[in-house]
Amino acid sequence: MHRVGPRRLGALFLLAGCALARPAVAAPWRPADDAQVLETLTRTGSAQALQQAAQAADGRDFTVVSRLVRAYIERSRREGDPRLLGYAEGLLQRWPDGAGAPAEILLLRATALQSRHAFDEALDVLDRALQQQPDLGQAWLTRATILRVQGRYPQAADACEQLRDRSAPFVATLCGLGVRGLAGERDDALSGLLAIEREAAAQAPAVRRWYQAELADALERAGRMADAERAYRLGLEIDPQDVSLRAAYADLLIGQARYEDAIALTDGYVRVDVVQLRHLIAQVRLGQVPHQAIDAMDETFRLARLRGQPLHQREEVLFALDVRRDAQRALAAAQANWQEQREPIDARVLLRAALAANDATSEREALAQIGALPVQDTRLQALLATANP
Amino acid sequence: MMRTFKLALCVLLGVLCAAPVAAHRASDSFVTLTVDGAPISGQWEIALRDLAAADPVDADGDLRLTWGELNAALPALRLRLHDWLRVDADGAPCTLVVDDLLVNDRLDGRYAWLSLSAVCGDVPRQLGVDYRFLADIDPGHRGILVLAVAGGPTQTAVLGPQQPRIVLAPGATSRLSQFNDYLREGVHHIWVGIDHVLFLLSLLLPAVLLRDARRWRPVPDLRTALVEVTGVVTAFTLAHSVTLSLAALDVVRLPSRLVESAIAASVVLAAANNLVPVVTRRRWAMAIVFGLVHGFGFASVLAEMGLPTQARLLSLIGFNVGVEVGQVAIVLVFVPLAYVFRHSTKYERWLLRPGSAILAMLALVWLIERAVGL
Repeated sequence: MHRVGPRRLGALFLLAGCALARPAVAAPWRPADDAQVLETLTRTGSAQALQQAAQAADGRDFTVVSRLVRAYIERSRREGDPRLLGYAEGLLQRWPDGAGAPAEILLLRATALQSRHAFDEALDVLDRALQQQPDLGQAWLTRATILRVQGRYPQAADACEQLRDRSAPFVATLCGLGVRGLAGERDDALSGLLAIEREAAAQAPAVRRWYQAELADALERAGRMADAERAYRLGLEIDPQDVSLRAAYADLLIGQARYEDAIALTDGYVRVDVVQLRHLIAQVRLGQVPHQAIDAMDETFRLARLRGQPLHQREEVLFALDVRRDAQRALAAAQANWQEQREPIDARVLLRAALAANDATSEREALAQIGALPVQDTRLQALLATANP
Repeated sequence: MMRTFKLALCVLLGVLCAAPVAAHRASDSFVTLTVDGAPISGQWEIALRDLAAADPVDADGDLRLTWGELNAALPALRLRLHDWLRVDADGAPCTLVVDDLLVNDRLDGRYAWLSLSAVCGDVPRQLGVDYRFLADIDPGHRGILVLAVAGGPTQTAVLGPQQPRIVLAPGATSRLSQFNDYLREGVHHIWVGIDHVLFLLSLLLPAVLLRDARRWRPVPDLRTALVEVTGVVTAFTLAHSVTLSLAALDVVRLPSRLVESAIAASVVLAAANNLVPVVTRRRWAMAIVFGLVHGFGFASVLAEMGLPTQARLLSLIGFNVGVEVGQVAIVLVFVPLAYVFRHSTKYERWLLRPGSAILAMLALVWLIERAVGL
């Protein structure tokens, strides 16, 4: 009888598993045809255009650089494309830092930092810009935004008020109402927003869209979902490319279990990851499993973690909760996210993650943190009710 | 002033109520280097978009990058390689050569695949990598470096303007967590599967033996062995089906760290029991008790894949059946072989005892890892 050593047999069993554990190897290929188009490029991202931009920056051509940087940041936000943000920062870094940098350049730098979620750095740069030019309205506005995201409402309100004499009073009012609504005056702020509806209709499109976004958020927190939905729709009519508005609207629909509506809403905008995420969540809720899209999103988060860039944490919480059903991962991401952002949605995902992880300590901590927030939010209240039956 | 303000407002308002910025697929390239004695080989994968930003590869400017254009750009890329990526061994620069150019489709888009090789004189003790690609154009770009010794563990580093250079010792002994990361990469379900399989094996190893007066003896006939095996597997299956269902349908929930640690503990105990027999006659009882725990472990795998909202029960049953089929396959392979060799004095000495010892040690490592939360 042929004898296979039992020792080898045992080893084989163990090794079989290890061998299977090797990750799939990438498979590069050689195109057959010279004329085959491999990639569609953009003029903005072409080496020539970028070189010209670099020359403008080196030549201190402020007008050109300022226009380019704003365009890069704006497009980066719309298309969810970080490379454009990188190009903006690449240009800005050519400007010498120090007393010579004009306030406008500092403001642009701060805007780019904010887009990267480097909030504290952005605030520092804004302070410097405002020291140079205290009348720089945009700087106050950006400052107010960041402070609000960080949950620092009194300072945010102050920054909003600084806008009153430095820009359109409506902007200051809207900014202030937004902050007050989060700082414990939900119903008063909502009344205030509704009261300025007519005035809002007369504003520039960007301000009108902002108004609808604030209104939608306030209505949602007050539990008036149908009215909130109308505000979202109006906002998207003004600017269909507003991805954060679309994502927030999708969240509302998903919260109401209207998954097909959410899919229809997000369809066609999934090139941007915040929207793609909601699309995936709705699909998963309907029982579909788009493996490739899910894996692609997973790799995005994995690489972001590897790079140490905390840009995705709120999204990762939702992804872990609603797509991967991994409560531990969701909790870790939620806790990390909370260090950075404290908007109502961040509180909600933190609580959801703590509840899903079934971990009494984290739950207690989350409840304590959220309890310290002045925000009033019916969805948050509903979650709290499940935590304390 | 007013006009620039309005323009700025348009930009900033976009990010105002936003604050949730799009979850970005950031700009990364992937440098993989494998050290095999003195020669170093590997590849550098660069997103075509990034390449087009760094070099005018789109020669005709029609914004469509063709294979012909990419290929034609190769000589220029070869010349520029030195500005972008450098390797040195023990301080002395190595000449990095592009051997071939291919295309690779990754999850987030299409990349150029540059096959690289370098000869660095002697076997390098320390490998230095300098990465400066796109640093002046896109400071957000990063080079993800994966360095490995042929057939050995890998080390990963992220290079960019903040850290343009890294020095690694390719032959460094792998840290345990690194080894585990490699295993864990994308194959979590097999990892979980392995400890179930090993638990089962721990119970089955002595199935073809009888404990008699503090000694192991081979079973007299196949029937005895089969009865034992059937008993153990059935008990395990029933127990884990129950808890799997309870957990998957959200009737019971246990923290996953507790479950994973308990599963590891079960393997330790089952394997240790083969070395110092405490439970000899009713191994099926062990199978039931620990099967309950393993069921929760399966549930977490299922949770990760997600049960669909429709046809939940059917999917649950399907998953369960899949697990069963996997176990039956193992039993069908293992038991006949074990039965055939049970007479060999070597069975106890070379398989049962060392096999169980290895299982126990492996499971102990898992237990510590999972309990501590590595």
